[in-house]
Order: sequence, then structure tokens, then C-alpha cells
Amino acid sequence: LPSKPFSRLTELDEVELIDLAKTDSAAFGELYERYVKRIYNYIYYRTGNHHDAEDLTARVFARALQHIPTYVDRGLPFSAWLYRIAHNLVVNWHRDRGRRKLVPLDEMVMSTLRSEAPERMTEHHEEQDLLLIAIRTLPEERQQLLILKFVERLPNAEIGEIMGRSEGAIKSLYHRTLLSLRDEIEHLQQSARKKNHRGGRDRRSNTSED
Amino acid sequence: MPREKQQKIDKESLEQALDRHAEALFKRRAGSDATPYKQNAEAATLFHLNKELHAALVPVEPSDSFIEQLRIGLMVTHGTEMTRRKRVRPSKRLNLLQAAFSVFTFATLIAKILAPFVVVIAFLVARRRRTVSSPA
Repeated sequence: LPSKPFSRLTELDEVELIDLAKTDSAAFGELYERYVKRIYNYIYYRTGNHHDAEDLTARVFARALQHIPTYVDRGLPFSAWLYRIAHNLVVNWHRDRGRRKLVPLDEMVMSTLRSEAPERMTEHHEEQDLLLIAIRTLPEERQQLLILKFVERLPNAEIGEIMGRSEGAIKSLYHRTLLSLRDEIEHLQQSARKKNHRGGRDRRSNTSED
Repeated sequence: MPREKQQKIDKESLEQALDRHAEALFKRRAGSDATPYKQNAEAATLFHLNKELHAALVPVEPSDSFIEQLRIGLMVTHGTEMTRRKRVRPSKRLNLLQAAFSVFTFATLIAKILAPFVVVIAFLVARRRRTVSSPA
């Protein structure tokens, strides 16, 4: 087994590399090296934890390996194909686990933050936690847009290719995403205030009964 | 200018400004795209969200051991898959040949069954023609 991809492979362009990867393990290894971190990041922010991100990343590349012999270049970046596989697996993952967007996700995000990065949790602003929770309540394509834009730092043109939209449509979708994110944050803040208010009232009534 | 058209222009310029603002955040430049919208509370919130998103959505690093183990696993699978495909290829050709032979046999069998009927029908048609053409 090749321990590292051959140096000449790193010089190949994507189309040549994909062609070679259909029959050559080292070429597939080079493709893997190029995209594994991006796919991992994408899945991490869609699932909210490292364990599932690792599991699903492995499945993405296993599926890519299985189907690469029949891969047809349609002029889109190879990453678009990988993101499509990742997206489908994440959707299945959410469906299988019954992790619906609204009910348990906020708790899941908070517990993930607490368990995986306690030091980060203490430093984290309340606002940022709320933002992460709000992001997970957005429709899938809007979550995808935010991850591709901020985590992957892809230009709008590439995001458009991945999501099958024009550059202008991506800008417009981003604007709408910000608007719904703002509304969602307001909604979450309001429900948190109501919860606090109710909690305080219950505590007061308990003390008066005592 | 009609109000709707003005609103559309405003919306488009806000979309452009938000996009440029996000780009400036990535490049760690002090963008001035938010300045014209300072008085507009609604737009200002969106620019603030841009900053928050930039701060919250940071790239994460998978562990090196995970990357390495997965790479090795994929290489092994790729190798096995290649060997399997090489082995499968000749048998595929054989299957194709078998299928062609089966189709040929089936077609011959059908022809053998239908041949007597075709001959009888042809005979009957010819006789009928002869009867019709000869005068009574």
C-alpha cells in the first residue's frame, strides 16, 4: 500500500486525477486528502458532534469509492459530487435518528458544546450559542449555504455550482437566510424569557407556600 | 420611480453589501459596506449577524488518527475492489456470450414451432387466391 500519495499526483488537475482514481488507489488517496477536511467540517456542522461527523465522513468516501468508476464529469467541481453524497447521508442520518429540527436540537447543541469543549463553553458568548441553535432550525439548504460560506469559505460561484444555483441566487438566498436567522433568534430569545419568567413565578409560589 | 422598483433596487444593493461585508470579514479587512446602513436598524442587525456568523462558524480539524485510519481503510477497499473487478470482467464476457446463445436457441425453437403453421396458412391463402381468380 502506498503510505503517501505520489508527488506527481499532487500536480495533476482534478479531471485527470478523477480518471486515474477510477483504477488507481494512490490517485483516490490524493482525492481523499484534498477533500476529507472539507467534507468533515460540512458534516460536523450539520450533525453537531465529532463522533457522527467521523462516521458519516467515512461513509461519504466509501460511497465515493464505490461509485467513482461510473462518475461522469459534467463540468462541475468534484467537491459538488462529494457534498451531494454528504448531504444525502446527513439527511438520512437526521431522518433515521428522528432528530427533528425544532424539538431536541437546541439541547443537543448545548450538550455537544458542553461535552466536547467545556473551556469553549465558558468563553462562549450566550449570543453565539443561540446563533448555533438558530442555525440548526433553518431549512437544510440554508444551513448548507452558511456552512459552505463561513466554514468552507467558498466563493459564491462555487457555492452556486454545488447547490445548483446562480451566483445572484446565492446572494439572494444568503440575504433571506440572514432574515430568517434574525427572526429565529428573536423567537428563541422570547421563549427563553418566557421560560425564565415562568420559572421565577413557580419559585416565588413555592416559597410563599412554604 | 415606482415604489416597488425602488424597493427591489434597495434589496439588491443590500444583498450586494452584505456579501461584500462577509468577504471583507474573511480577508480581515475593515469593510465599509455596513456604513450606509447604520441608520437602518433592520439592516444593521443583518450586518451584525454577518459578524456573529463569522465568529461562530469556524473550521474544525478532524483528528490525524481518524484521517490516517480512514485513508488506509479506503486504500485497502480500493485495492480489493480493483482485484474483484478484474476477476469479474472475463466472467461478464462469458455471461454475454451465454445470453446471446440463449436468445439464438429460443428464436430457433419459436421458428420451428411456427413454421408448419406458416406453411399451412400460406397454402390456404394461395388456394383461396386461385379460387377467386378462376371464373366460375
